[in-house]
Amino acid sequence: MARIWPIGGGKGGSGKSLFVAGLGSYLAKAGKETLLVDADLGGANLHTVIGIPHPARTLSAFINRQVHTLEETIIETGHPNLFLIGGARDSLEIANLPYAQKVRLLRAIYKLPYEYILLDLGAGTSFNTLDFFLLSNCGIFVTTPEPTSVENTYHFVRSAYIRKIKQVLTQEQLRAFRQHPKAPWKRPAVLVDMLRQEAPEGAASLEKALKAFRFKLVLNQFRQHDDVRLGLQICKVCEKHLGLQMHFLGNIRFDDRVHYAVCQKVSFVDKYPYTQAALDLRAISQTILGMEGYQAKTGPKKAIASSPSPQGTD
Amino acid sequence: MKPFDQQNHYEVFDVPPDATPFEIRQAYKASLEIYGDDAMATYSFFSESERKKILCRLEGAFVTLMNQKSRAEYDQTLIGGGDLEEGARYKGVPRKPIPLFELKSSRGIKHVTSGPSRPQPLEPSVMPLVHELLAHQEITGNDLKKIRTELGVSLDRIAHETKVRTALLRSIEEDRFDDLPSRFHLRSFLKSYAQCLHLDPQAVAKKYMHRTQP
Repeated sequence: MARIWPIGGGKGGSGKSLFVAGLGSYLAKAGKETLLVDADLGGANLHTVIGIPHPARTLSAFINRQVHTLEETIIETGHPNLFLIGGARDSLEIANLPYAQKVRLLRAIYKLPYEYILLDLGAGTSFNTLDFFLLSNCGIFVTTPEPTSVENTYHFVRSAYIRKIKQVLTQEQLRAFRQHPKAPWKRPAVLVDMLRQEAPEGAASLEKALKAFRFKLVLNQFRQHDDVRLGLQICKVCEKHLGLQMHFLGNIRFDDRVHYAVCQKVSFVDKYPYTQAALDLRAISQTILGMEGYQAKTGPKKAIASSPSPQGTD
Repeated sequence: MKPFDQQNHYEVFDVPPDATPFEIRQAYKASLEIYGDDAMATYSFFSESERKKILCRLEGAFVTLMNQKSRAEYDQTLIGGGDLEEGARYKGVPRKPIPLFELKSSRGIKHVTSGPSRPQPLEPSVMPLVHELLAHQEITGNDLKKIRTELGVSLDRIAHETKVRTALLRSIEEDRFDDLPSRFHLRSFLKSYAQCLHLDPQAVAKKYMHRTQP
């Protein structure tokens, strides 16, 4: 069964795609069959980062039903064990995926027979991005040690959190909380607390769902004088104030050569394997490989069937 | 984990209830780095009023715990509420340092916040053989080797730490006095060797040199 690792983080330009490409290469090099999925609908570019300028088939073939199964859109990357589903480039309306299409896509991703599936998500906190992120409990946040990025990451964490709460609660409970004078909507901890008093069984399932999260954090573009404690501090704040378990995977050093590799449209970790950034990435991939005990999946049908309509008010 | 509002002072600081004032001060400083004015870790996470409230909470907790009397009173209320056991509270003395060679088996290693480890005198119960050998008037090279093997330290490791050649260390252990350097250098090497094993450098050097007396 595949382990699905969605990689998100809110802010654009923090290095999500490069992280996915680098992590994917190392997992593949370790002999694991790895599939990269460019789930950045409407902003796909993962293929360029790993050196494939024009993927023959992309997600849009599946979404537009030109092919019957998602497997048919998988292409080889030229590296052993590493495969790619390119993001849709040829359809300009794909960023606003209809709900039914999204459910079909999420289910299809679940069924893919790979050891590791890395989802490269887009920036922002649209419902599409959040739903992809919540496809698994092991989402990885990529952030940089800058206030803008930290801000976006917290926004993303909270949005994902609220999205999950919505999936678990019933419609009536949701309505009740939205109209509550104390407005607990913005403060998840208060929400869970109030729910505990008013609907104990709902609170129990919510707490279970929240406990199942094993989020990870990566600090990318880490420069020499940045504070090494920042990653652990962010994890601590999430755990203390949101009750979310967050595991810090490590810092990845900033490296100008990443830029050169992208400009040459080649894989960074293959071009510059002995740079500090590549070594940091390799260390993180080894940590991830060591996490064999994790239950990567929740029940797919349940999670998707109970997710609210994307057109719903928020 | 309990919601932040309901945590007691110790949980807020992430320290055990028998933490020393030193540890509490360190924890307070660490918290200020997370919640302080310019802290990046909580940037945009809290509204300004929420953050001020948390800072007040931290300061209150710190002031209470730093004062011996108010801390005792606070502990008493925790014990009354069933949140703390009598045995677990701070008794005015820091926890005993963990015997050096039991580090691996120790459960408390996580909370040790003291600075760089300083050599502690060996406790007789830990390594009877080592103590027996150290108690003699003289120490032979073979004794040193026995102690070193007992502690599980390789010669290469010592060479790496002391920057003394392995061959020379071996000569010391094999008592090949002809191969040893001048007395001055020998003493210094012996001291580093002993320090590496966390033995008393002065005593070891003296007891060993005793036999090389011209």
